Amino acid sequence: MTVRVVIADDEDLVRAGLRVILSSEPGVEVVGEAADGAEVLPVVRRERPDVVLMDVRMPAVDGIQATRRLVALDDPPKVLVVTTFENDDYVYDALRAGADGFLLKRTRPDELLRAVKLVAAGDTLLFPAAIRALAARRPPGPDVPGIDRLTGREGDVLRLMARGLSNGEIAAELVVGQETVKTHVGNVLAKLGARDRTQAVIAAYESGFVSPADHG
Amino acid sequence: MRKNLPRRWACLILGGALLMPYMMAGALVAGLAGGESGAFLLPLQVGLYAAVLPAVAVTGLFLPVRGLEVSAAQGLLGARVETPPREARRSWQERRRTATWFTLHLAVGGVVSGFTLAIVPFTVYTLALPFLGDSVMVLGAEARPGWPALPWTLAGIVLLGALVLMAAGAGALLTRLAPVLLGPTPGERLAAAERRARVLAERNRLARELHDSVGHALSVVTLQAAAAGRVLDRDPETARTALDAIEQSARAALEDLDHALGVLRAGDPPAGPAERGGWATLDDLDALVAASGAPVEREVGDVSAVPGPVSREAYRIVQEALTNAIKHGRAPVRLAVAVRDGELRLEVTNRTAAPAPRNGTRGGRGLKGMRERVRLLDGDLDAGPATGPSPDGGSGKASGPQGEGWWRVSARLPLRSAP
Repeated sequence: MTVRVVIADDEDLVRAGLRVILSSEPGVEVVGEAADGAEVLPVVRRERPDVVLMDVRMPAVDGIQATRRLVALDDPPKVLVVTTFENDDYVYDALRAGADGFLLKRTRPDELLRAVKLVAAGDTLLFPAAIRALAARRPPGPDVPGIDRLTGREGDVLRLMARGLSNGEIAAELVVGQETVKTHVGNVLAKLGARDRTQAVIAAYESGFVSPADHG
Repeated sequence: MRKNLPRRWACLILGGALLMPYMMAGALVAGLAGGESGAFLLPLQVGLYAAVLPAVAVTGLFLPVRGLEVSAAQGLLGARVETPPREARRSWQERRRTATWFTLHLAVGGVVSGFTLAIVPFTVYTLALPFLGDSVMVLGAEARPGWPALPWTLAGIVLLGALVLMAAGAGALLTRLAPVLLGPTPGERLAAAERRARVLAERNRLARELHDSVGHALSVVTLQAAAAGRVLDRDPETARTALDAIEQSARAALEDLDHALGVLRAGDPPAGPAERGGWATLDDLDALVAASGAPVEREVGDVSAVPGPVSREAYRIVQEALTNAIKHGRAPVRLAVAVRDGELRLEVTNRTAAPAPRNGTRGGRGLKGMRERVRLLDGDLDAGPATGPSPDGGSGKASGPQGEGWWRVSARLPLRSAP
């Protein structure tokens, strides 16, 4: 299966670099580019990509707004926010807006490609350590309504998700079948009103259900 | 308090010691006026004491005693005095406070010192009275040795106790007043806060500049290098394009870094009320001219190619030059900005009332600041008398007619620093 990618970045040289790296990998195809957040939506509607690489700061419509618009689509693509610096408040805002993960522009090509494929497959949290670091810099947020309705097992699954384990790894850890884990993950997302793992994990951190200090 | 007492007492004695020269001078003056020899050895003359206090107050306004007094208050009194910032110019508010404190310290210290000098020997003397062989006269009364001298001894001890209480009270009083009179004045606090805010704003500006320019350029370099590495064998042409992009990005980043480091090395950010947060660029010239309120003839070319750091510095140079022209010169003031041959050329010309000095010595700090900025950007600055606005924005110095003249400040800034 080919992973179809759209690149949104206002800088030509960044887009060109990403395109060359992504195109050089079999199984990944760059199907469109956008130089501003405002251009992303039409390109995505036309090309129906699996993944959008989204710059945060763009002149007219920034990556956070563009992400919000994409997430509101019926069959939204996965969104990977691409940023220069890790300790960037915009990144967290983008994740809260519904981005599935983020990439640093200095990420090595093989990691970048792995991240694109992983987020397209959709069953792993990207860069759990970085999300934890971002969460640790934030004061605890408001209570997340559904978090107290999680069963004990669902809570376990959420904690393991926060550590960045995939469904298969969670299944092995809890000694249950992978299908069971999938059901649990689905329930967790439904109860927290989360779109995906990233949002669920952010909610877990924000509500204090999982503390950034819990695991090193 | 008991632990502090000796130090506080020392501070009071210090006040008394500082009062001594005034008393001696006062005694000398009184002696000359009265035709008698000065009574140096009787410093506790109440009239003299009262007469020298105004002199103390006046000298307190002008002598640089604040540092000494702050040290004394902190070290000896143990008062919580915030060390005031060093200001180049002393405000009258600060002078008045310092003078008030100085007078108070010397007045109270003088009294306590006087009593200390009188009472301590007296008490020692009364302690010795019972053991003397003969009766002696004490303050006009006869004191006989043995038991009859005991009341004297008791009186001496009571007086000593009173002295201790007095020193403690005076020390406590000064300790309470020290923070009020010696601490930073509201004006100094405000100035310090403004300075902090300015440093912070400048630091934030640099951080943002580095973030935007160097961080961004390094991202491009990383991405392009990764891309080049992946296609080197299959697609040399793409790899070559990537290498070009890397070279250009890295060079631009180095230039920005050079500028940022230059600003950091220069230390404190330049001050200025109309600084507009240090963000204004040549695009803001219209607003600058409008804000100056003076009629300025403008000829501003296309400056869109001027890089951000150069544009910001150029704005400040123009700002400085216009300020000088409006303040010291006469209308018409003329401003020309143009980009030519990879250089940004700035020129501010104004008429001068008096014949302009020939050697360009006019314009002290403002000119120096401008030169500093221009130097950081590897440019040239020229300031001096001229025959009039030069048509080409160059620096053609010429001898003007004596009497009325022109003054011209012109700067050339390379858009890119030399390789």
